[in-house]
Amino acid sequence: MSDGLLDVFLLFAKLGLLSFGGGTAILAEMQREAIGRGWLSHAQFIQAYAIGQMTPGPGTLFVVPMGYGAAGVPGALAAALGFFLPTGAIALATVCVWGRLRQSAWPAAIRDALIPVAIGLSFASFYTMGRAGLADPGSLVIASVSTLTFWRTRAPAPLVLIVGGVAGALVAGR
Amino acid sequence: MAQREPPGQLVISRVHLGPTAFGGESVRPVCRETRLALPAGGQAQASIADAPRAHGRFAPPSVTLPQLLGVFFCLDCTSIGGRSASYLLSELVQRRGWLRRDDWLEGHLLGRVLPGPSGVGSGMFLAHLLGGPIAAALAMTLYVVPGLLIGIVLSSLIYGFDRPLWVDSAIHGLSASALGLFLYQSLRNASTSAKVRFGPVAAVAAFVAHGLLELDLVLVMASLGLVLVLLNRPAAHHEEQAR
Repeated sequence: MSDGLLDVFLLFAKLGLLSFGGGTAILAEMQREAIGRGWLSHAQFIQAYAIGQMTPGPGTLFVVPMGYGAAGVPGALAAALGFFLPTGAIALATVCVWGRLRQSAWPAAIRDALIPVAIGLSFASFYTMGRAGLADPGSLVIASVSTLTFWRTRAPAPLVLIVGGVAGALVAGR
Repeated sequence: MAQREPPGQLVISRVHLGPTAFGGESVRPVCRETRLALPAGGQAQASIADAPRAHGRFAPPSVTLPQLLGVFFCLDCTSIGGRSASYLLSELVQRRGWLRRDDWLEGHLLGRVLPGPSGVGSGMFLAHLLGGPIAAALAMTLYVVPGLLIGIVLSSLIYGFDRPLWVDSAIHGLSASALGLFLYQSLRNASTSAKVRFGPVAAVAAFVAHGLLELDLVLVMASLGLVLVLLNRPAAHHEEQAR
């Protein structure tokens, strides 16, 4: 593995191991790292998140387009390996010994303690991504309508995202 | 599935009801099916301590490895938009009846405890119940790989070629819509912080520290997490309940 790919692997491994509560909490850090290292632009980072939402499987597959932006197909594989392999190994080890662990109150205490931090970090991620991705009125309207749609209806996520894409094309065409 | 669940294993009285979600995964359909008395639009929320502790007393049906892997492969090909725990519930519990609802609940909560994607942790737990550690590892591989390949193809289409302006605009709109989805998920999760002592304070502090002040992620998580663990350690929690 070259130095560049090793960097991608190590960064996403670190972020994966810090991503309690689903993975979105580390988006702000991921954005800073990916942009700071010159792997992606602000716009590409948000595009990568959108691609991840359109991809079947775990919602955190947004690491794949981010790795792709860093180093092409090998970068995508390195990012996915870094993000899923260490956390998957921990998960496998944990479920194998869970019979003993689950009798303890401490896992619950740790989980309960980390969730609020993860929630705050999620808003931090939205703030940092929104500053770049929602700079024009059209994007702001599309994002607001999408949020309200998810809140008020049970519309499937891919459908709402596609409608957002069509709206984006129409707004630009006017 | 109801008749397969031994009575009293899902401790309903310990499930908190309120307008929140399991860490962002809506469980409204679950609550409706188990006929929990929910407020209008309400959802159930539980901590891992509420998870049933009896999966050892339940023998999952005999599921062959190819069957199990086939299900996880199909799940990966169809579960667009994240929320994989909901897909696992639908397929393994509601449709096939391979596991009980409380198995799913335990796995889901376990997935929230572990670092990394919550769907991977919960999926591994469920696959482990059905087929052991090798099945869990293989199932999770199949759960991730097809999406990984699709992600690479989509990335190459978007990053790799010159595009007409309208395609860029469409991607821009799609990205804005994805940010709307992200905001929705964050808002849905926000009230979960209230169940922990000083949770809302910690959530705001994390936002300010990492979002506004741009402090290091590890520093923020370690310091705030440590303080919250100490404030909510099991002994302290029990003392407060006793008072």
